Amino acid sequence: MKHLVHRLRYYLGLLGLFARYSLMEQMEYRINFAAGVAVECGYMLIKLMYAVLILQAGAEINGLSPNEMLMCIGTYILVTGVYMGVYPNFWALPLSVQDGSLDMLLTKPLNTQFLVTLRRLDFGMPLPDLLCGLALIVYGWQREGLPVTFANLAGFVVFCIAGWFLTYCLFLIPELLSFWFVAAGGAQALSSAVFDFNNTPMNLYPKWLQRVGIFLVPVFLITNFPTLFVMGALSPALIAWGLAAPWLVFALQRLIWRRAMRRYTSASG
Amino acid sequence: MKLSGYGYVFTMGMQKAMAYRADFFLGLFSCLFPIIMQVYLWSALYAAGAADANGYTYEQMILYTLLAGVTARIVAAGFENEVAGDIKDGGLSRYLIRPVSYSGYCFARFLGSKAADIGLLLAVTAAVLAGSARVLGVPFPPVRLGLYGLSLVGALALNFSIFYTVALLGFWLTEIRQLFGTISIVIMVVSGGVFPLDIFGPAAAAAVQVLPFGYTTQFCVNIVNGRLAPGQIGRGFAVQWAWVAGFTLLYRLLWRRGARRYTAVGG
Repeated sequence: MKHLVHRLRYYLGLLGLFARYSLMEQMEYRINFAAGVAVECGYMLIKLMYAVLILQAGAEINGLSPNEMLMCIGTYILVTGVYMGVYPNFWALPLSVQDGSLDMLLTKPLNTQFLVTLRRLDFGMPLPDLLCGLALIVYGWQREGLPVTFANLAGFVVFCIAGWFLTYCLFLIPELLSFWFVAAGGAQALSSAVFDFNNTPMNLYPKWLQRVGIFLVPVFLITNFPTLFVMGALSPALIAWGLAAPWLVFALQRLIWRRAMRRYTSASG
Repeated sequence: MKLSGYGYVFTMGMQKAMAYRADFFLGLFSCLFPIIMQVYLWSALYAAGAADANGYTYEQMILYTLLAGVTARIVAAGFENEVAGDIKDGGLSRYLIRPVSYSGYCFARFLGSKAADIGLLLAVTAAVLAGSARVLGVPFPPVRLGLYGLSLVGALALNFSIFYTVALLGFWLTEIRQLFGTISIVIMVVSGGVFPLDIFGPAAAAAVQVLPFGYTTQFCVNIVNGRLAPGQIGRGFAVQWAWVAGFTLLYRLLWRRGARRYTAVGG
């Protein structure tokens, strides 16, 4: 136990260092930093169009009021923001496999996945998402009149963290395909398209698709479960599944990661 | 360069696009998901009687959703990073000393890289239209289908000229790849690639008619789904090609000025 705490402290310290160096690097190229914010604002514009449509409609659809749907979309934007903070690492992984620059990272005395997926933290891209997502959640929550209790707030935060962890695990898997196929652009496009199913709450989809999105490829857990928890619409079984699924996907992702590492052959360098 | 030279560039672009076939088909497959999502969204909104879609009937909206995704993909650019890279890394030099028009070379490569994509997507469009005619009971007069095909030619030329113009800003800005990301997304939204913009009120509808972007996607799709009267279609074609001419003049001007200040730093 003492060893585990020591390791955790060590890795948290490293994460802090990565964050510091990433921030210093981004402040050196401020135009790039601003451009990152602008790109993410563009993507946010698309997500907000869905929110505007739902607000314009102003009707309850399949058990969800417009305010609750806004909370779901807000959660999606918020989780996307946190995901964008580590996304540059995901994006760079296939490239480092192609040009062999992964070699250098493999030689470091650290957990390779930790180093490869968390060494560059972006602070520009998450900014608009975090602000806008939070604003939509607060607006929807307050307009719906849902009780602001410690249990609700804690549950919402826990499911948001679980959603982010699930996003990290689930969307790292397509990037790992680059160890088998040289080009991973198609897999990246496919995973983005699947993630974008969260643009609208899952209640808008038919039951069979909801089941696929909850149990098979659990993307709907990411942004629907926090709101559904606050609404009291999650059964104990679904709460348990919502908390267990990220760990199961993590185990699967670790399995694929190990196989990918065994398969890796340096292309150059 | 003789016309056959551009033919070779076209073939090379096509071969490059097909080099990674699994990647190509995965990318193509991915454009299905947003379409599925939007079909369910509109079905739910119309079923709840809550869709405020500025006069679009359910059939028109579903058809719009199905075709806009495919049309946006047909006309999508994607060559701008290579142009900016050529300018930044000095690769442009090898085209300057050869008897070749750089814009012609880029256009041939652009068409070549999209040829397989376009072929497959047109087959998908035909299947979508046949399915829609059967399921939604919407008739598609052959004249409208022909006009849709013609509008795609204009849309491809317009999108190329817009993105080529933006890419030439690389002569003045050193690092503009991030800027392309923002511009691509904004253009996709304002071209009607996500939703028809006229559902967001009269101001948005008026802007679509005046600005060039709607003529790359929304105009083409609305020809098929019957939203446009014959007079509006004729006017639309005139505005579409006027914008192509406008952007062509603009990129020629930018090229002349940019080439003068270009300094090869490598290549």
